[in-house]
Amino acid sequence: MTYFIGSLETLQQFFPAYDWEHARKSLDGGQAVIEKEITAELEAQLTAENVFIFTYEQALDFLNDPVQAGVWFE
Amino acid sequence: MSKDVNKLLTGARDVVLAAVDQAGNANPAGVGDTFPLLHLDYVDEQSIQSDEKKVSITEGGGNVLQAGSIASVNVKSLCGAGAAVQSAQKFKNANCNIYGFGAWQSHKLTNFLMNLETPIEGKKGGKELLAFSSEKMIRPDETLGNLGQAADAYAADVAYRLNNIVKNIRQENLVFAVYPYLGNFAQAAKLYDASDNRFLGTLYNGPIWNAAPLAGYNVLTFDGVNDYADFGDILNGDGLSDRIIEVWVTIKGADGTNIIVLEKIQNLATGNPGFFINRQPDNKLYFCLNDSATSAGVGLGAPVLQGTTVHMFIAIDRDTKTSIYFNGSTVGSSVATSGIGSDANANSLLIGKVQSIYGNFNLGALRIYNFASGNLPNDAALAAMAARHYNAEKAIFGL
Repeated sequence: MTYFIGSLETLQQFFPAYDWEHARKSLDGGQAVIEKEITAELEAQLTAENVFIFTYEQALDFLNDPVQAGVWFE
Repeated sequence: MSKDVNKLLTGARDVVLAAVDQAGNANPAGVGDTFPLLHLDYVDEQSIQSDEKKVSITEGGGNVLQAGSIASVNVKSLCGAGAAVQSAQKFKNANCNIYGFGAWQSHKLTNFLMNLETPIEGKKGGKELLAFSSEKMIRPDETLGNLGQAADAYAADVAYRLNNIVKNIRQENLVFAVYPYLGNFAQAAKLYDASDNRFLGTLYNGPIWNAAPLAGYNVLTFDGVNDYADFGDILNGDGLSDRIIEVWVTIKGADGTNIIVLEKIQNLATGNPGFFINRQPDNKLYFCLNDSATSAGVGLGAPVLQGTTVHMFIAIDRDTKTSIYFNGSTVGSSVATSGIGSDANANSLLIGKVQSIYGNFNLGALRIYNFASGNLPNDAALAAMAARHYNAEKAIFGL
């Protein structure tokens, strides 16, 4: 499974059927995290939209990085 | 040989069915599936007693069937989790209540039509005896006493395993009990409360069911990225009733990170009524109880680092103090909680997150007991209970 982190609006366009109500969102609600299987085509499209594509460990490190204080956690 | 269970169960008050097959690991979802009948209480004299001569104890004005082995029950009528409404309609003419465990337990079924494949006359002709156990509640300080010592038997012997499930869920004062270590009963996106309340939790964003250290058991892994379980607005405290919260958890998140295990609170700040358990950034496990103005927190003095499994047993006496036991032993100092008022709030009971903070850990089991004001066991009994529960289950988690 791959973690996509990026603009909520962008991710919603790519994955309209996702359970967005229960997805993790940034404090301002503008970004979201979802888990999906990745394909080469999808990776190219999401990268072009500035969506981060992470492994689990990368996603965990990214979200817990102190620089994300005030963005992803209080 | 087939029998109409409606006749057999006339007058029965409570039956617990396990949503597992004879191997203990599958969910019956269709006609013809089998699952064990675990539990039956207070059967009318004119039904099983008079027909089958199996009753040997009279208690509380009713007849209590004795514990035995476990019989196979063949589902004649389809009653899968996805057909709850349909099932309820089918079973509307109830004179007994049938509870399911696992995938079935959110449904209180009635007048359940089944064919018994096993004659209840017993082991005549090599047939298995129909199994019943007493409905009588088991005090939390007298149960969970032999699980760990017989872990091998527990894993290998389905009957032993299921009888111990019944022992677990029939405890007095038990108001919430989830047992990921028993597996997911083929419902990977749900978490079932096995207490009489039968709360149903929903797992969001895919917590993973992984193997526990002891073969045959499971843990539920919350990834710390976005996984959590939501049980809705339940278990509001009244500020007077005492409570025990007990959890088996393995910390998986990196040292120095805040790991939310359990919470029912708006956020972690003082001034929000509710409670939470977390592994704080200083790596110490911590329990906090708040009313709208005051906070009382108690924690483990030593750090609980990544990869560590602990049994956390929190005893909250609203008249005096909150004490905490780790792995069966008391640690640290108690904190006064007599001044904490009601912690009721409108928030959901969540496992794995509070607001924007998530937890990366394995959940093995979580139990909550409520006691009327002043009825929490004394310190000696609490210490014995914490130790007994730890020793009973520690083998499952590799301790």
